[in-house]
Amino acid sequence: MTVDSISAIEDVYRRRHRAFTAAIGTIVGSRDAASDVVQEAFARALASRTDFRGDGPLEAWIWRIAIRTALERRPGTDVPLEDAFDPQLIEPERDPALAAALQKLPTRRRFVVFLRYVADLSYADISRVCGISEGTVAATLHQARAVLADELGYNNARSQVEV
Amino acid sequence: MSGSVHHLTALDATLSERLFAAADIDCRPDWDDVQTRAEPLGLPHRRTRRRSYVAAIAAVLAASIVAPAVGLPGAVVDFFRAEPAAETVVLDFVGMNQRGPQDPSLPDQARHVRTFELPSGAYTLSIAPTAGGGYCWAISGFSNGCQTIRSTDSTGRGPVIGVTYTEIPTGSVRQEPVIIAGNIASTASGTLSLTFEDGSSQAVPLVWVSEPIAAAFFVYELPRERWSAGSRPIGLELRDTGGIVAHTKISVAPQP
Repeated sequence: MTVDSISAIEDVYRRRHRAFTAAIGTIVGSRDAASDVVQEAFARALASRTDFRGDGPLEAWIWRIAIRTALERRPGTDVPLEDAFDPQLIEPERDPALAAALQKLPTRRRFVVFLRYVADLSYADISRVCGISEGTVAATLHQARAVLADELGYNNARSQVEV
Repeated sequence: MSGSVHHLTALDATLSERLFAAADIDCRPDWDDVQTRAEPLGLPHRRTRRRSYVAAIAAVLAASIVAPAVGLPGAVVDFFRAEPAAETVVLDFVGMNQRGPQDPSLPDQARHVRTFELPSGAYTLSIAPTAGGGYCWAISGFSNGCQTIRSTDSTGRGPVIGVTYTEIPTGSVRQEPVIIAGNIASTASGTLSLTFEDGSSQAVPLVWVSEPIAAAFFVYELPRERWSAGSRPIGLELRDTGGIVAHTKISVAPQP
């Protein structure tokens, strides 16, 4: 791959730095550690850019590197990703109602919610990151959305899963 | 398509906003540090250049814009005035090219042509021309494809309706929307209709896109009342004042 791929990785870094840091922070448990992991992950992406086969979006590939790097920083790295994911998605004092609603979700659903609404990944990207089918992603989000809508008092929860 | 949320309901938008606001992170991006860290891993430190776009081909194509036929029913989009496609969509076209097509698309020329507001949500249509005079299209959260040969039907005169659709779900399968979408690689004017088992028909809005694409596109969601046997769609017809100019059969009935 050429300089263009370096630029593409830089584009992802600059546009999505905040989302990466927020997501990784929930795995490693601190902002400082998250910043360090994100820097390391993008460095690894740069160094291994020739390994990117283009069989999916570049950003999803970088997400997998970032999550893998984050897990290396945690004890018990042989724990499955979704089980290792720290459910402390947000700072409770910022939105207590939302924090309480998220606690109603099983770990897997919280993880997929986070990848969708904070990391802003598509269903296809979440499917690649988590190693599950897009249908499962859609179903998981549908269930999580329904619970969150009930807990937060929204009345416009969809009854049909989007694709 | 990261960065491009496919089907934002009001609930999706609210959840996204609240979650992101609550996950407040004081970010200080440092790209130079990333490159420095990458050096021991095998990457020479150098200033990166912004990606350059294929301007030469764009200039040639821009010079060949032809105004769409007067009186075309449906919306008309001037391709080169359309908004450039989102970065994630561009990368999707890059990904499509990785499959080794004979006539690859020009991802940097991809445009966001139209967002179709359907009952199940918003579906964004993006199009990229190919170097060989065809085009590739991507409909967010649905499908993508290419039309590299502007083929005609068996008579050699009429255009061909390219169509992609999902099946009607049944039984324990979750109730996903049934989407019928496609393109007509022709500037021939006409109205598109979906025909049904009961003999009725329904007009399907077309979006006509100017040169270099020179084609029409449609994205349609089948209403639930059309899911039952006896009232399902069976085909698409393109008609002009002289009658049917193109037709194709479809079958959204669930496979056994």
